[in-house]
Amino acid sequence: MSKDIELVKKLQNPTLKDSTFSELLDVYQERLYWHIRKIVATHENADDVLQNTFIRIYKSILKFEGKSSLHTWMYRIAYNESIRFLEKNNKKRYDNIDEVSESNLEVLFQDEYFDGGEIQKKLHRIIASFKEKQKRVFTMKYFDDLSFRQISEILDVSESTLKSTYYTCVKIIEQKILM
Amino acid sequence: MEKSTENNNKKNFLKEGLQGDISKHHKESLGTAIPEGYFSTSKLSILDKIKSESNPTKFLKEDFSDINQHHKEYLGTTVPEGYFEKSKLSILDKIKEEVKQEVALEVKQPKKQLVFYMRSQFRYIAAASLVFILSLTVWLQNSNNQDDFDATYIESLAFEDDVLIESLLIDDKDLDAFADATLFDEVVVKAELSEQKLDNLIINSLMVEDSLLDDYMDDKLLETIIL
Repeated sequence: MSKDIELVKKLQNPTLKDSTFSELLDVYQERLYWHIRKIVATHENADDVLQNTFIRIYKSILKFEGKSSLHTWMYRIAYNESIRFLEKNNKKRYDNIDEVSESNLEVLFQDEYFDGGEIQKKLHRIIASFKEKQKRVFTMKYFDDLSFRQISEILDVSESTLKSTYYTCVKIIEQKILM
Repeated sequence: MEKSTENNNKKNFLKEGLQGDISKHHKESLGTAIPEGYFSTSKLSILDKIKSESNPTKFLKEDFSDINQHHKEYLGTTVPEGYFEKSKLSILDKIKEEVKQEVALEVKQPKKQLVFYMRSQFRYIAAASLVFILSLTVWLQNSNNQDDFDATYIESLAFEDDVLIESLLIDDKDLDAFADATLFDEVVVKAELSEQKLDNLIINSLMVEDSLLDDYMDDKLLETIIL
């Protein structure tokens, strides 16, 4: 957290901005990539959105006021960029991530950079069958390694609700995988 | 004798089978063989399968310190080798390009500079000056009028005082002379003028009456003659 504060200070300093941005990429590039990848499915799309996300972060870093953590702020930008990308590509407006996941599964399974077996496909289908909130909570916690506090900041939901949602998801997955 | 030996051999075969190498036993007794080193490779394969399929609880509780490995293992999603290093450079290059483009745009289209008096700070100064000048003009005008009024008023008062004082000091002779002159002007001249006007009026009326009478006489005469 204190490292993030230091990063932000340097990024908001015009003389240190460029050199610090490389540091920022080292820390957050992979995390944001995987967050984006789960929304846009294919590697090619994720690559495009990742670039757009970091360009937006670079341009708007001066507007970051520290009301949330840096990670949370960038995570939101990545989410918005992903949705914007899909809307632009599919010429369709998405109100939530639910609509995206269902249509993206088949695209994902045919992607060059997907080498999952039946069990991975099954997990994808189970996650896709979740409600939007469940899906976001589970993927944020399980795949993006965010703490409940960070998820609470992003989704504006209490930590206790998040915990119960997450463990419900885990239970559903365990049951369905065994079937 | 031969039969008892055969029975003994069968018993030994079963005993050997249970006590010795089971694969060898199967090969010898059933003729079923297996590839060399099968069980060592098979063991690993089974353990992997158990890890991924037969134990979903473990599948979900795996440590995910390596985010890429974690995604690969559970979601089957991978990235090209060395992708993140290349992507980092590509993002940094793109940002440099964007910055260059922005700078070029700023150079091409310099910000419209306002004429100095249109700039906000000058606008306020100009407005303040205008208000000051207007109020000063109004104030000065009012104060001048006040002076003028006061001066005229004082002057008239002084004049009246002078007249009064003067009137007290005038001699009776002067007063009589003034009265005669005024009487002459007012009475004699006006009387003469009015007398002259009266004469003119009488003469005019006489002349007009005569001509009208002549006209009338002529018309009447003609009418009576004709009728």
